[in-house]
Amino acid sequence: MSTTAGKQRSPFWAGFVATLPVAAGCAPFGVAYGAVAAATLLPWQTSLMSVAVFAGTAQFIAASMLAQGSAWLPVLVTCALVNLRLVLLSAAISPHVRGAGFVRRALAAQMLTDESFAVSTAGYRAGQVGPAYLIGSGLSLFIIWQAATVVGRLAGGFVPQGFGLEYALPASLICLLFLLVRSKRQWAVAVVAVGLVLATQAWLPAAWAAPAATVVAATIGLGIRRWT
Amino acid sequence: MDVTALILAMAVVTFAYRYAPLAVLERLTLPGWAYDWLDLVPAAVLAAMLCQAVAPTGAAASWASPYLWAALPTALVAWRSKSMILTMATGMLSFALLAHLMG
Repeated sequence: MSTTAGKQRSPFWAGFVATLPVAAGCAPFGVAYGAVAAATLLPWQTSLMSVAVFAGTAQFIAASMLAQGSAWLPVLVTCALVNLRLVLLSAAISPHVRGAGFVRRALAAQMLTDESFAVSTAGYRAGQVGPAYLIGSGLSLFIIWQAATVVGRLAGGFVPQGFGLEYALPASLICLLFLLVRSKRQWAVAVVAVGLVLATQAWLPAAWAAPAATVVAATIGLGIRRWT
Repeated sequence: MDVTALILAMAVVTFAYRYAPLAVLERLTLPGWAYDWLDLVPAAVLAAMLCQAVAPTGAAASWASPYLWAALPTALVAWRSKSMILTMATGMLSFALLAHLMG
């Protein structure tokens, strides 16, 4: 059968298209990041972070901390902890990138986000193979993320009140919690982390409270017997 | 530290996270507890940051906080739909509404 009618999209385009709705959902978050970054970052720095770091939560936290006058070290440490989950996502997706050369492997790495991980994992379960699917998925997010960043940066300072843009970070954190936290043990660790943040807020600077609570809560979690 | 240098440092750390497992895991396996610990970090860090983002703090802390109460419908939609776009829309709308109502 030589017909190409009904031929499947290439893995790259399949990943790209499958991720578009998710990417659209991230756009308000990108706009919110750009708007917050406008307080302390130059336009090109705002976009540099979106291109080079390409991790929404870390970018938003960094921009917020800088806007509050934080020193650079807490920002970097918080970013390092917030993004630590990427190690796990990368480890989990690594069988699908096995055997790829440096360039494709590096591209797949840079395109790895919570959202491209979620879409790609579903795609691989449905029979997709290879790094191209992940790269296409990530690129879909990447393009919309860059556009949203520029829109937010341009609108920074002029963002009208009453559209709830202030809630972009909490809403995305809540969504990621429900997407990424599955086991009872993880939920228990989440509760411990919240307790630690509340317990330490009186004497620990806010910039350090979340990193400290994260490390302590995850370590306590190691001692919790695995529930199934 | 210059902001540009900070951004580049963040980028290097983040890329290393993304790239290292792809490069290393063909040959090397981490001990089980390391995977266990990494598995618990997302829950801890997301919950800690969410707490800081929505919990009323400081001297002017009040339970009548739109940040706090908007989290309820947002969490409900996130839990049921697992959809980023629906969750973002619910969060922003309910926050805008509550901020309006609570003044």
